[in-house]
Amino acid sequence: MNAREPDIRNVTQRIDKLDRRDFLRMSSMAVGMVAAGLSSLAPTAALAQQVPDGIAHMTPDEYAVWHRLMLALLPTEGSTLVDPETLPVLQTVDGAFLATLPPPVLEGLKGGVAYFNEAAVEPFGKPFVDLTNEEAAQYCDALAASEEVPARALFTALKFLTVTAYWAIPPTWAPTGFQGPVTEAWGIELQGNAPLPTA
Amino acid sequence: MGNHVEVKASGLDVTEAVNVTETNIDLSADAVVIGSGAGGAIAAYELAKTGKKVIVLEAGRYVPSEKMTEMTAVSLGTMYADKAGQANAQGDITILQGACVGGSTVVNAALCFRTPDYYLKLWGEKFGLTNLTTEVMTPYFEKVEKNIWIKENTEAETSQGAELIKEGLDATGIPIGVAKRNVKNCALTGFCFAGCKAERKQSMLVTYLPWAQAYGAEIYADTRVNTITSEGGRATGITGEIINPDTGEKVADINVKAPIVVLAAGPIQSPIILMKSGLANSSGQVGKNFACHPSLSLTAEYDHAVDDFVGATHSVYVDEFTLPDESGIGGFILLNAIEQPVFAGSSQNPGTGKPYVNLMEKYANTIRLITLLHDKNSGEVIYENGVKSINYTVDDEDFESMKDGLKVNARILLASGASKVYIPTTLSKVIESEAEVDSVIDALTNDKSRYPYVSFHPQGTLRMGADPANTVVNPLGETHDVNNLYVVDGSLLPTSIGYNPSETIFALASYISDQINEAHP
Repeated sequence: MNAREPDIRNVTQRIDKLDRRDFLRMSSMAVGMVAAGLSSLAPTAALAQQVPDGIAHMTPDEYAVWHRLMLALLPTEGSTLVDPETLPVLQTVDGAFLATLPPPVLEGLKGGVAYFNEAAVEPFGKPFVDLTNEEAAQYCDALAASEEVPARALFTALKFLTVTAYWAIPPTWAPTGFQGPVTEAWGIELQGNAPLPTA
Repeated sequence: MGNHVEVKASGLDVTEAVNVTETNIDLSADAVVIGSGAGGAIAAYELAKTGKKVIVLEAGRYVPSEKMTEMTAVSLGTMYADKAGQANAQGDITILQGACVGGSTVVNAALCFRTPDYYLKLWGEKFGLTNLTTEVMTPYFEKVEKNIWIKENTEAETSQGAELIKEGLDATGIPIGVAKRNVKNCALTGFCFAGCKAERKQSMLVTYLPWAQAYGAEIYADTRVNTITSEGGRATGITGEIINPDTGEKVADINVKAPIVVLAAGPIQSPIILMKSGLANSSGQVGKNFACHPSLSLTAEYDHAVDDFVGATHSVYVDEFTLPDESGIGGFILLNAIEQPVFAGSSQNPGTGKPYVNLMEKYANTIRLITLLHDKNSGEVIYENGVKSINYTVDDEDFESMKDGLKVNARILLASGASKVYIPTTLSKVIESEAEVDSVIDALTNDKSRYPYVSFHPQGTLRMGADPANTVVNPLGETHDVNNLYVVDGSLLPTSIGYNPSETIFALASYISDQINEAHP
């Protein structure tokens, strides 16, 4: 058993009690379907902030959720890993992933992001963007461990997009020891096309 | 004729969307080949060599070797189907396919296996493929092995992770399989999945496609075939579109008239093209019998740095448990693989936040061993209202086989000296001793969206066989319903074969090309 599971059991139980229809809405993003009547984020004081340059497919409120998730997934303080705040992680999510989605799928994703934020109210009494670091980690782990398929699917998809965007940025590699591209660095010559076969 | 044939020293002459100035292109040829991967490239060469005018149409873009970045994220976005976002309908199995000139052969790890005799015999017994005997197919295996340098890895062609796994295999008494790969003078960069910039992997990009061009074949990239046309029960050509891959905008319609149509768009797109064409489906089997070898990668952590960053991407395998048991249930194959952080960084979730950061800080201390499931052909590719869908999930029997594979995998890694083995679920399980293996893995249940499956081997959606009532393609590679419409890709496979299917596709494409040339001298 994972060492964190006892800590999140209570949260998991409360999340699993949420209305299944809400989770089905969440699944729309994960399976790429169009969901009708998706909720949108209601502007709040806590979410009122500007979207930085390079973000074209997130509203300021959606950006706040992604930003909070990025910090929850990658708390690099005290580690050797590069602080995600110093990197264009969410610009990469926006440009490399969101920009490529067909409009109906992007709308589904936006609904998923909204619900991801709102669903934290049931177990914590406040939306995801207002959770402490510890609460945010508990919430994410609870979704990951949930018996509800859409809850797992939603969290997994959001996490995948965020951490993949992080590791796609070359400055993140050095602390892991990974050297990046080598062919030019090693002076390897391109071998060219093979000659015609004799067989 | 052969005296005047010359292969370009490097690169290909490819018509790309950015080169196209006309809005309507009408072409004619002796043969049009849809797809430029393992099957299409071989067919293009074998047909062009006999003097036929061949046009190859590839939906993906052309990425010449010198433009390969060795940055996996960039490659995923430019050289893979759906920008590597292709998945089953549930969204929990990522199905990776190359989508570029050269197809999956450009971005795979070059691992090759001959089709096991077990399957050739089974296909003869169950599907009437009595022509595909070991005796008939062996010369085709030998031919492609010689042509694209399929050879067993040398001692130097290994990696730090593979060497540890060998220690684990020695300790557990499990036989070591040494990889055979289509690689010539491997530069040991470890970047197979991003395309081999050094052109050492003998993919279609540097072998059969330039050879086909030496015999006059024309290649169009960015060209999506919409329909195959037919008249009087015979294929007559294709209709398609040339799409700018950067903008998604159509730049031209394209029509090719050809008395021979060779379909090689891969096991997901080939059935969709037939569905859109309304052809070759009297059996009702088009798109059915999909299998994909879903895989899970275990991560082993050591108390010391391993630096499994470069080397041969695949070096060792375990196939002791691959073929089906007495009840017909498939097994699994284990493969080591070098994986970059952008791949490996999303496969494990030891806990949100600090546990994840702690694991990735120790990335240099980790290696990965893949369990690849020999699954049933239980899925289906469908196309409705302009949207493709891959209806496939791992069934309960196959999941039990996966668990068996994970147990063997974990034991090998622990025997190799790993201090921890991470089992990839949405919240990873951690095994720290051999005594925990059974209890942890037995507790896994076959839940949807619980495991980060990745598939590299879609197959089986236009299965081959003698009976037109339950197969799509006849034993010679021609569709039962439409004359002169041939299929030469992984969709042919009547059953999942458990092993990496590339050499099977190479050999079948060579065999079927001979049948085409015999029928159309």
